[in-house]
Amino acid sequence: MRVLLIDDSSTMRKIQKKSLIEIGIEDITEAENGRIGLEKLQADGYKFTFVMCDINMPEMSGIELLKAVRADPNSNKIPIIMCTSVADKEVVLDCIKSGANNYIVKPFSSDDLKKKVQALGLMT
Amino acid sequence: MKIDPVQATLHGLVQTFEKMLQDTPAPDGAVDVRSGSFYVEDTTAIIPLVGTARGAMLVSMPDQVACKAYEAFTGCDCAHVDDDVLDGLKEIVNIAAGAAAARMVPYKIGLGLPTVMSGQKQRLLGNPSAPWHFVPMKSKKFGNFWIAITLEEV
Repeated sequence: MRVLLIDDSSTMRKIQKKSLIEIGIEDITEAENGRIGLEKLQADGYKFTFVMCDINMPEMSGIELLKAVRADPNSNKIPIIMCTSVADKEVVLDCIKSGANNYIVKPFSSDDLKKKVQALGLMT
Repeated sequence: MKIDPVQATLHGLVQTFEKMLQDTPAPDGAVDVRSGSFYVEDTTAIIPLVGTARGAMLVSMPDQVACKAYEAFTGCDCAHVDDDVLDGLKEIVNIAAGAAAARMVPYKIGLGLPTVMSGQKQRLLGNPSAPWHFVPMKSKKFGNFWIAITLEEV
């Protein structure tokens, strides 16, 4: 399973990477904002199993990335889990409307993340 | 609905530690209400709260506690408090404040940008109209530290 992890905070990427490794996912590519994430997605030939993406980021936000990925026929089927630190109903609705498959609210444990990945049908 | 900002802060902090640092810290004494200026620990992360109530929340730790918390949070080693550790504490207060805000929904609280201070014998000066409520916390894994909130209705 290959995951593209997008977050502007290097600390949050470390933490999310730790959680992904704890649930058995070790092939992880990191990107520090939506634009770089999109470039890595394209450079990789859209072969990531899923994308895990922060919402508030400079240059290109998570919502902007979502819209770009869904607008491209090469990538519009890739599952995307959005991460947010505020359980704001409007933010979550915006993510779902923009094409997110699921979302996870910080703080989350490795078990919480595993359940989100399982909900995508990518893990038993 | 009655909102208790101290309980909301405690909930946010404990939930963050349980889920992301695999530890359950608990209050270790009475709430200490501080106004005027006061000293904080070596490493202190503060995040502004804005909405129909405004204020700030902080987490304040001795360096050795901050180091241990960072190690549990990120899985990385900590020899001393460097910028990575400060960034870790910044994320902890950000996540804890987000979880606390979710318990204060009627105030429609949004989060400002967190800031971390490091160094010994730092003194903070609060706003006279909104004293800080400090809660001493005890963690078996990391040691003792403080969480605090100041909040006033707009």
